[in-house]
Amino acid sequence: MNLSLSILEFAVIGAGLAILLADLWTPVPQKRNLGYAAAAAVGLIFLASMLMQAAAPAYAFEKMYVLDGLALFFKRFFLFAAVIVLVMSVEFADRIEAGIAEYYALIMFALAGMMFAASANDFILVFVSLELITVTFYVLTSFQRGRLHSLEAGVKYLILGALASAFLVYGIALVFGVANTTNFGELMGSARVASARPVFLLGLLLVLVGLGFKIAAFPFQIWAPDVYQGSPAPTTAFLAVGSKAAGFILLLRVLFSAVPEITVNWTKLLMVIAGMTILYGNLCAIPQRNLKRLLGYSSIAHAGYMLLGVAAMNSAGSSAILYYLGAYLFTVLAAFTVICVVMRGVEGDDISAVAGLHQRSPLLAASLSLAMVSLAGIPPLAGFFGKFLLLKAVVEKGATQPGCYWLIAVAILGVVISLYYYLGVVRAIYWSKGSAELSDIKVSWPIQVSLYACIAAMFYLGLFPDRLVNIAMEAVKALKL
Amino acid sequence: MTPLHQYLFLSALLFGVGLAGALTRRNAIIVLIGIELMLNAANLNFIAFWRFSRHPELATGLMFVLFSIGIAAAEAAVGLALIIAIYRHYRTANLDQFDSMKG
Amino acid sequence: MKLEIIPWIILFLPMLAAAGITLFTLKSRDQSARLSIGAIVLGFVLSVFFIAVNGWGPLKMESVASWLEVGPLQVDFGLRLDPLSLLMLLIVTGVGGAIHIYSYGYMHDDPGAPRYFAGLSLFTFSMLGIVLANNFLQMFIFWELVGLSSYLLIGFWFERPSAADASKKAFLTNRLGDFGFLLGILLIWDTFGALNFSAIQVELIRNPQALGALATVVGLLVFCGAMGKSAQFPLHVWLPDAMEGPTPVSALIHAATMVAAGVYMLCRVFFLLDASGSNALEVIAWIGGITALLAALIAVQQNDIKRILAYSTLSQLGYMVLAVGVASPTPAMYHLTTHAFFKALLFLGAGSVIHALHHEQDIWKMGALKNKMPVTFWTFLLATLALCGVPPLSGFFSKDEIIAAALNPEHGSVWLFLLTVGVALLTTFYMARLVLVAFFGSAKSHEAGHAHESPKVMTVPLLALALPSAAGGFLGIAHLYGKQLGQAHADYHVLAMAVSVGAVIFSFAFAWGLYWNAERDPLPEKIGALARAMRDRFYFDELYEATVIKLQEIAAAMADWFDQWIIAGLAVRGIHGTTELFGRALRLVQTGNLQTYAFLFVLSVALLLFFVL
Repeated sequence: MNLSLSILEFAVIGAGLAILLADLWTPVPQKRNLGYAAAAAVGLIFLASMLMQAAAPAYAFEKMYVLDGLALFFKRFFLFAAVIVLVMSVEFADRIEAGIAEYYALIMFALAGMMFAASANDFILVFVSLELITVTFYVLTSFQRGRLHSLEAGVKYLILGALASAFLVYGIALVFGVANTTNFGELMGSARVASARPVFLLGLLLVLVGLGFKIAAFPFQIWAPDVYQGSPAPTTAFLAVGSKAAGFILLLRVLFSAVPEITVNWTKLLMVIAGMTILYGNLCAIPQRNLKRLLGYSSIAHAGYMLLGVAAMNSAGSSAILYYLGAYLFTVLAAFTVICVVMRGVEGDDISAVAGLHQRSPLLAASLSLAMVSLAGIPPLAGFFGKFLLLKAVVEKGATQPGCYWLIAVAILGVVISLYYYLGVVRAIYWSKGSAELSDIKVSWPIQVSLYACIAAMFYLGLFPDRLVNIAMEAVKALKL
Repeated sequence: MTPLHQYLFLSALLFGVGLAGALTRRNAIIVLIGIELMLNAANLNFIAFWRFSRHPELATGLMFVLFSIGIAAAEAAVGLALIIAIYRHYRTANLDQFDSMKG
Repeated sequence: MKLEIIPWIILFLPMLAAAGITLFTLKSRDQSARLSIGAIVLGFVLSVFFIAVNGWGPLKMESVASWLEVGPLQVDFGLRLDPLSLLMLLIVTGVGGAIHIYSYGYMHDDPGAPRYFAGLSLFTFSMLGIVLANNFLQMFIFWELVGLSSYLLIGFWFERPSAADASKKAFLTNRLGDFGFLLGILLIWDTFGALNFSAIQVELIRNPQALGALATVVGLLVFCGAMGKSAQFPLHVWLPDAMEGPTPVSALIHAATMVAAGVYMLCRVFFLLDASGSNALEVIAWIGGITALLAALIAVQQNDIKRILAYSTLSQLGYMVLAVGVASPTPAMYHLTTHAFFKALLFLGAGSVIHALHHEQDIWKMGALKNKMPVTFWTFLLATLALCGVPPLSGFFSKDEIIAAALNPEHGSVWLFLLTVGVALLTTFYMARLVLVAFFGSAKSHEAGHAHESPKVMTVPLLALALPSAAGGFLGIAHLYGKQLGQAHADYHVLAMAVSVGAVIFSFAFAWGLYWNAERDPLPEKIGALARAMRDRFYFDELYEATVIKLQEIAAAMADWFDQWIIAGLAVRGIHGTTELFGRALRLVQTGNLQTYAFLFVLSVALLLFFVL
């Protein structure tokens, strides 16, 4: 057993426990600043992860755990996301009645779950890491115990999440029953034989249901808007970025590293799911007035775009997903950071709360506008190139699968529809009439730093996408495409 | 010895009962119990498959069930705590009361 | 210093100006204006210098810096420097520069002027990017940037709901076209494995069948982009609304830049449209023709000075697209160039009038401005004559080439020719109406009676633009374009000239008869007086009233109705409405009830299993 491979995860868990311990001796007014300590610790671990190499895949825990380029890519992704979410949480601290240190620690435990998920090479680890994420998020979503919306979001996520887990576990059991193994490497050998057995397919489909729930793909997206709306803003951000990305890495691993022979038969299914997810998210977002709910629907649509890359079933598609996630990370975190700062004391998160934001804080206004523009996929921001690469991957697929052109048409329709509501937000920002409050907003320096970082990254990825794309292409070599 | 298919049948039945409970009952605690039943149905499957497999000396199935039980316990603990918190506010644990967010 | 660096400087100067304004001088109107104007004027000077030293060609220089290397895809960030792009460079910096300077006067009292100049510079940067791009991806990115910056400029007075709506409409309509463009680019990339214009051209010459069955589709998809930017039917709806922006912005969008981008792009990738097996050109010609006619008909009925000019722009753009469609890119670019001069002049003249009349835009509230605003009047008149195609002004030559091209036997047809003649007739008619009503006769409002000439900073750009508007036909522009895009067809020129001059005289006579008198007295009275004085003329007037005018009015009304209800109503609002409806219907699914959610979840699982297994 090679424990040193998962040193990053252990470091995160250790740091989380340290925060819990430190909480005992920290005086109450200082407790919120533990978040900065947590962010610093995770930031250090992120820097350490940059030093790690994964030239050849290395295995640990009876080959349950794999460290390859793909895993490392996602670990860095999650670590960076967690840093920004932690900084955001400090900003949010005064809206949480008690146990802010526990909130920080839970974010770090969820982070550890995501990092394990990035390395999953066995259905056992898939299940355990997924549950570590999900159960932690039950608590994170309902953390504002005095707010009914938060509690409601928690219970909705709990019941539906548990239901999805039940299907997932049952599915894994059936897969195990036929193939006699839960390890991806061994499954790949026996999948060809097992694929003739309907029970095996049933099991796999149930696993996909569980993962589809995580990424909020149609038709398992129904929880997302309610939970996004009700949760505390940092939780929503982490849910939108971290939890969704974890779902995607698991989906990629299961589809393209455990059972690639079976996956190729499901092209049509994945195409339909991708198209429907895009349409559902975008159409539902149009009439929304609640900013977090709007972003919830938009995140469904973005899951749909990324599913395009899955449906394309080529390395161009998978690497495009990785790039897209990278772009999405900075964009969504910038948006939620702004929401977190602006929506102080605003119940309902209505769009009107950002009215006249450009007069109150140019930085916040610019960040949110740029985030919306990037989400809408307008160059030269990062969101454009992600969509470009995804569409290109699907076009490549089009030579063998003419239905792809329809899928592209649907995707483009979705993008055009999405302009309505993204521009609606931008317009609200610069529309100061009817805003009750026009006082300046003070932005703390850690928030400023993270916003500047997100904006810089949005531009950098949009103008010079090649570096990240090449890294992503290297990373997806771990998959059997 | 009881043949494999009988275990599978029982497990499927258990899954069905749990699912029916989760879908039809309004009380959050009973819904949660229904979901636990579904998880246990999966566990039963695992144990049966493992026992009847060609390599019962490989403890994969057993291991999975241990994890599964542990996680189910964690899920139940968090779930119950959440339901208690919500009961304090709403004075009810009926799921159809919680629909303030929609549309 | 290497000469190669100059175009790069020209390209990035406006961007630096925009960045500088946003970062440092948002508080100071004068400094912002200086930065913005300085950047573009310097750009113009450098362009002239570059061309003077380097010549027009036959150089086919591409200045290239490696930009992206993404796996198999290599994209350069390159500047393409050939007669086509160099001439456009001069137009954008020259005409744009005049508009920048003019803006300094026009926006003098607006508190948002720094923001305005930042937007103007960003717009110039994006436009230069399109002009100089040497590959599709680079062009597309600047293409979108143009859309974005026009959104900022049209919606400059964003506190006005109509301005905010107009900017949104412009942006959305453009994006609709852009996605077709993007799809076309993806297909091209898939087919050729390259995005560089010259690489694709070389490949297409080597293997003319490379596109195979996709040739028409690719051509039309690329044309989609041009339809959005150059406001071709049915994506033309945004352009008249774009008048909500400040008038110099209208000049910039309608003359030198945004709308020209579509036509420029079509000429740039003409080799693709003309690829063997492609029928795209035929569609392009007809869409251009329909746009030209529809817009000219609508222009006849408008009373807002800027709207008349907007529809006139639409109509002229239709001309250019038609020219591309009959495989004559040289006349298209030629007309684009001359049009840039005189249309910018017309808009700036209109802006000068509007400025003098305190933002009055209705021509029926103007009148008698001829003597009060002499510079504005004479330059406006000159531009009008150029637009109508009066020899020897610039518009005459370029329009004549298009009319001749419509007759060329290979791609044109008699129908297209008649279409162009009809549009020429209408053009003279509505422009004559505009000039007669607005500048002659008596002052029809208090403001018009007390109008004064605009300040020097506004009239000097008018004079500067008047020069090329008048002499544009003698600068050898067509020859320059022809060197790259192939010379225009030499046949039928005499016929076309005769027809277009005839159209001017004929139409102007009608307009004179109707509006010279109409503006002096109320209409019914005039008819009565005429009836007594000259029975015969009255008879003609009556006939005209009964037939030509009525028909024209009905046609114009129908076209307007079609535009308002079918295109804007059904197509744009209809699509909007349907999506809204879907959105609202889907909301019903999201009941908020947890048990419904759980049930739907399980139902979905069941359906999924049912369909797959």
